[in-house]
Amino acid sequence: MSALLRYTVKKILIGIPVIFLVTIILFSIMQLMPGDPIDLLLPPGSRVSEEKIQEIKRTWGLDKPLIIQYFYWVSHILRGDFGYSFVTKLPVSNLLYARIPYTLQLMLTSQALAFLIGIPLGVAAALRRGRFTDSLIMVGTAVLWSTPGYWLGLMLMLAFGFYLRVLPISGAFSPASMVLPVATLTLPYLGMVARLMRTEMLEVLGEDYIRTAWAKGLPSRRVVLRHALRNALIPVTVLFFLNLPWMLGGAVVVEIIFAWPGMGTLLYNSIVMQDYPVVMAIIFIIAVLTVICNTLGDVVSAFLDPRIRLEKGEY
Amino acid sequence: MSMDALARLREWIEPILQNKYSRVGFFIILFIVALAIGAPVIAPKHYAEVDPQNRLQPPSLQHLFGTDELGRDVFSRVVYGARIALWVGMLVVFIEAAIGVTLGVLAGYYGGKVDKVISAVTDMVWAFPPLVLALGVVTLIGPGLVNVVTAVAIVSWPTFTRIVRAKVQSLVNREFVLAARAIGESDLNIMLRYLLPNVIPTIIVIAALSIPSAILSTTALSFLGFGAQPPTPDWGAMVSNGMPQLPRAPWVSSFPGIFIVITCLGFNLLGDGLRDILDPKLKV
Amino acid sequence: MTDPLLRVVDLKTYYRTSAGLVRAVDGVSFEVYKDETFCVVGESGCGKSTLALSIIRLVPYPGEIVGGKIIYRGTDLLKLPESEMRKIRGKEIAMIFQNPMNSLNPVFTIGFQIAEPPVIHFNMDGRSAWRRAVELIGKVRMPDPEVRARNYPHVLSGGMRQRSMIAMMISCEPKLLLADEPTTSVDVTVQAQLLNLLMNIKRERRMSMVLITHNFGLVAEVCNRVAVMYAGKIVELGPVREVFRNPVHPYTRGLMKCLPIGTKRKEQLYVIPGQPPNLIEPPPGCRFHPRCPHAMEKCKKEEPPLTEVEPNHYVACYLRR
Repeated sequence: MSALLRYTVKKILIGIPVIFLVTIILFSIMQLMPGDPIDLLLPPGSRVSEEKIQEIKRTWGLDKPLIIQYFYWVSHILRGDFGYSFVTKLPVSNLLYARIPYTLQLMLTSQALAFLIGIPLGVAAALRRGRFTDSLIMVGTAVLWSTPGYWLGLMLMLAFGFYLRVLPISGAFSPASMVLPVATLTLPYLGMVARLMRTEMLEVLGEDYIRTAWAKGLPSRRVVLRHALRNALIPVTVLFFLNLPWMLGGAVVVEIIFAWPGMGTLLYNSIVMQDYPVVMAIIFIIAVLTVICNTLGDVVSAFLDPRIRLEKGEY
Repeated sequence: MSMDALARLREWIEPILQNKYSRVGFFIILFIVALAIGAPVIAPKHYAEVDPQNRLQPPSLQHLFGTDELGRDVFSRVVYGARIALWVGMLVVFIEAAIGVTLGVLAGYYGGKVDKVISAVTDMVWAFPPLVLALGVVTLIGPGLVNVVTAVAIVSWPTFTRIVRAKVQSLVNREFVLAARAIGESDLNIMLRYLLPNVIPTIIVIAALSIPSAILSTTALSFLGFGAQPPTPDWGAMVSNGMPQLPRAPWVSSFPGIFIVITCLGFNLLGDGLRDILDPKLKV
Repeated sequence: MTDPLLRVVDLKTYYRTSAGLVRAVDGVSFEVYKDETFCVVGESGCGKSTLALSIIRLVPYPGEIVGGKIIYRGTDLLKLPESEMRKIRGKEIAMIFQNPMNSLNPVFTIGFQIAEPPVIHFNMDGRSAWRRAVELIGKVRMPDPEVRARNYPHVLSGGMRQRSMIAMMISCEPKLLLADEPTTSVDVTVQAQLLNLLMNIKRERRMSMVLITHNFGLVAEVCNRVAVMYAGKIVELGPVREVFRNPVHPYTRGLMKCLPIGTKRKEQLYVIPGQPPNLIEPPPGCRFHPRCPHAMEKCKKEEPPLTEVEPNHYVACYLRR
């Protein structure tokens, strides 16, 4: 276990500089944008006394050289202070905190469903390779994977919201509101998960160690579910974490269609209204989430695969 | 076309036609390409021709896919849209490949620090949600179809780099490369004349499988209003056009979407088939 | 002679590939008696691995056993339902594979993998199975059995992995052990140790063994009887001394000439001319005739049957008649 711990610490130490790199990139972009940076920090439109401006400049280090300004800025965003929105004139952090739970709810539910359904489908297809079930699953998942989420969302809305009138088509008022957005987000991903699972499973089932398991006289349940699945699940589990940020991309479109009050809608509105502080904050949060998910992916794969822990002489 | 080239083409196409999935994919692509090329002949109307008298007409013999809110013929717009989808898909993938393959070959060939830097950047861009990143880029450079193409290409090259890098790494210590070094070939020559040709089959497979992602991303941005501007018959923009009248005139959004699905499915099936033929162990 | 433990009759295993039907095992018959070490020797690609896999019915897709009988202690294994066959594998007949690098599951400790068969076949509880595994690890002479049991395969050397493999396969005391090139992919220095270990265990537990090898030298050391396989068929079969002293089939003689033993220093090693045949369209008549120095007209048309030339010594060749 200590090898695993050391590996985890190492991966976290790699993640931290990446987050700093992201902050540097964002800071540079902000410097490149037109206008006085003080505008990003003041509640816009408000008449503020010269003294107040000086005070803000001091707390944000705007009277100091650029490099110092950067550190002031980083120390603020690390404390969750992203300045004020141009449009709503509210602190960006307040806007975000209200939105994040909604997005997470949507993402995590869809992600969980995509894997819970996709994995058994992929395994089933692999076990019935070349037969009708396999063809059906393969064609079905290929179609799902080729479907644009925004269009799927509209079609589901049309079918269940307008024609059947069984599900709400916008907002987040009841658990039923979640059904269509979650379905829209889940279905295409489910296709991808099932296909990956099938590929991995077929590859593992062809390995020598599976032949060994058969030769030992193990029942097929045990060979498939323990010996094969345990190996085939490693890349799929890693994908679970690596894909969380990708899910966020899909969430943007889905949230807009279904007027789901999450970060995606906020991002879209802020881009349209050129509310840069909000855009920057959301991108920063997504970047941090991305780094965290990657680190988690590495750690989990090391946990599942004893070979990875010992890479490069770490014993 | 010479007999030789024809024979070579057959050699390529035959295995594609042998697999039932890639055969379907091949004919789908052929169909979409035919639509794109023959658009002026196939489409009864020009894509931008408005007809205020016939707004939001349901599908009929006259308007196979109905008409939109300006009375434009949806079928004609879908047919012309095939040009945009194919053009955008291929352009994005071409740029992706140009960036991705270059970095991948460099990282794989030189290794060491070059590899570390390239890999770190690649991993970071790869892990970032492409649509969000593309949105960020569009915010910076502004909307428009060309900008969307650029944005999507800028965020999706890492697939090429990751795979090409691994492939080149497996080749650099092979005898033919060592021999090339021994006879004093320059690094550039080794990369272009010895390594690149061996990676081409892999690149073709990734390219085929990247076209659908490119189409999905660019149409998504167009759907959000950042891409193709009216009256360009972009399928994504058309879906978005139909949104306000969705319950009244579902055909405006449905048909372009169906064509996106068909086209992407075609490339995915073809790409899977090509992988089985050219590089069966490749995982994309 | 007593009843054989295993009797293979006219076994045919074909692979249905897109290139055509590969007749990897094409009408093979032989017997294995109790306590015996029976060797199958031949070039790679002659079908000897497929033969071994056929016996425990693990021929990989697209291969299929299309005919013949495999009679183990009176039962035809080919007639058993899969669920019954499972009770034979590992418990009655076990198999050791060639490549120890890939033949152990990377995500389980070797202790777990060795303990598994007794749990399945004897309903042994986990703890006693583990104790037994540790014992077996000691038995195959790996140092620190307690520690090794908790190791994952990838930290072990090739030789150690093959020892684990042996431990795993003898854990249910099978009566017949199939060993497919068990020492081929480990270091030469380890090969002899491994072989000794295997033969000792075999003797101690009174198992019979079918040893598949391409190494004729090995045959001489450990076997009682030997079958020479060529292009999916047995061309010569007999007690090992008899075959060595008096090889009849030109292919067997060629193989023996290839042995470096007794070759004078400056003499070149003998090489059988030509390539092993394509098993999709094997040559008509005797499959060896294109490479045979003594081929006659008859050999090109008719397939020579396996006939007894001396007591218990069978040869499929027209040369001696």
